[in-house]
Amino acid sequence: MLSRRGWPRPAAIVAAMLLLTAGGCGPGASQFIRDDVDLSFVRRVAVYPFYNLSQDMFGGQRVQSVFLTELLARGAVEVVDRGEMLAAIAELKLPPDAILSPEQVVALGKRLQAEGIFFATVEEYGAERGAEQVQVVTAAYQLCEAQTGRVVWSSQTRTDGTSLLRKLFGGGSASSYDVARANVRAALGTLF
Amino acid sequence: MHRSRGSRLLVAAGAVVALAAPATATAATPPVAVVVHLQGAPSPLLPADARELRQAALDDVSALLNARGLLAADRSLTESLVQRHVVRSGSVFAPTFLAGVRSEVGADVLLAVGVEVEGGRLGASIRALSTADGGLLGIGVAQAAADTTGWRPALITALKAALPALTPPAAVPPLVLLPARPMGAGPRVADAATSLVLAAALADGRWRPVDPALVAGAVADSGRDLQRLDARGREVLRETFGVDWAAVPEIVSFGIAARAAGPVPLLEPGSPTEPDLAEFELSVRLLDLRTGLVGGTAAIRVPGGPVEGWFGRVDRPSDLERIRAAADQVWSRFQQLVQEKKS
Repeated sequence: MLSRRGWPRPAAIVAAMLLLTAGGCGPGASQFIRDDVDLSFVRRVAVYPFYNLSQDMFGGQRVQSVFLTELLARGAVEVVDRGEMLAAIAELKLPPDAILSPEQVVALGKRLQAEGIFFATVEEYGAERGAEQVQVVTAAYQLCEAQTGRVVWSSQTRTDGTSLLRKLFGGGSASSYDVARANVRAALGTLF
Repeated sequence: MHRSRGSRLLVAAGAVVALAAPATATAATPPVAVVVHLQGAPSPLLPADARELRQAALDDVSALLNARGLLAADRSLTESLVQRHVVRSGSVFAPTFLAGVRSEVGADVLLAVGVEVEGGRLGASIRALSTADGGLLGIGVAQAAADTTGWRPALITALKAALPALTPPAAVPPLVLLPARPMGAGPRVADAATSLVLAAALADGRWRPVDPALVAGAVADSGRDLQRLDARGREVLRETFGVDWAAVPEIVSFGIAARAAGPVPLLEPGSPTEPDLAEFELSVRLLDLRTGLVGGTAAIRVPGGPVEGWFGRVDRPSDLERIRAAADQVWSRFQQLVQEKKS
């Protein structure tokens, strides 16, 4: 017996369960994309050091590394090396722990010859307080156009290490790495 | 008297072969210069002061060289050179220091020995480099735990295991590999990652890695910073070593969260403390030195916790063993990436 789309019923149920539990994490993302900007012109980008508001001292660095790997894996843009970015920050005397003004973003873009600069704030990173040690990552990502300094894409994503499958079968939380990667993928999925 | 580059390489190769196969030391064999640098904090479990530990390391390495049929160079000559060039760590060697080792000490091979105190364990890393061109000839990393017999046997064990069998220089392209960038991990982990990725690259045989201390020294001499490698720094690497790209390892720890008490160090390359390395990702990025763009990345994630094997066997590999296994795999993936970029 087939379901309405031609799937056998048990297979449809299993497929639905797998979809619900894919990656072991349930990301929730809200995003914004400027519809008057053609993002296909953004070919060369740089990633500013992620701002860290989490309780984990290295939350920003950890999520940034995963972000860079995922960005490179997509192959959609060229990415400026971190060393070049740090050199530019020192040269332009930019604050690493504050929001940049549009003028600063333009200066940075010019220095790096980049068309876009990614920023992010890691709001939560680590185990959520509670009986179970559930890993959580919440981050807000932005892409600024280097020519004008304005935000052209933004995504806020929360991901935790629980899933329906894990709840049903009593598994523990997904690891910090898996949760961070799921978070980054959910965010980048709204852009590329 | 100046030797041609070809004859210099042959002499280095001669010393290398002698190191690889035990033989009787002869007066004709050039001596091997040895420099020792200490890392880590003193530990009550290892009641030896820095001077004592350093002296013991020099004695032990000399003895190990003798056992392989080689002589360690005159310590006073090497020490004088180290002081004159202010070589404070084994991670930065100025090109002039290396030239001095060759001309003043008369050594074709320099052994850069690092001894690290880590609680009750002693770690040793030994890099052997050609003083002719800074090419890496061998690299080894090892650890040993001090037991009731004291720290000296542990030091000997670690140094013996770390002393590498040297690879004769081959006609393969040079490879510039920058020191590993740690994220959420400490300098000890970063050093281990650098050494073990280098070891994998050397074992691969397709490249001749330049010693990373010489890479750092060349960049520092130009007034630039490896952590903030800009266009001028990249140009220095291209001009000095004749390469168009560099491999940049990065190790990211996803271990137990460290609670931040104050501002977070966004720009600091590592951590003064050593966070847990339970779960980590080791990646090697391909950096295009002409453009400053990242050409691709090869990465591997290593889960934390014990490794369960067949029949309920549970292994608890050390951090060093886990990084070594990850380095071998990630280097293999990186090679695929380089081949893809070439084709």
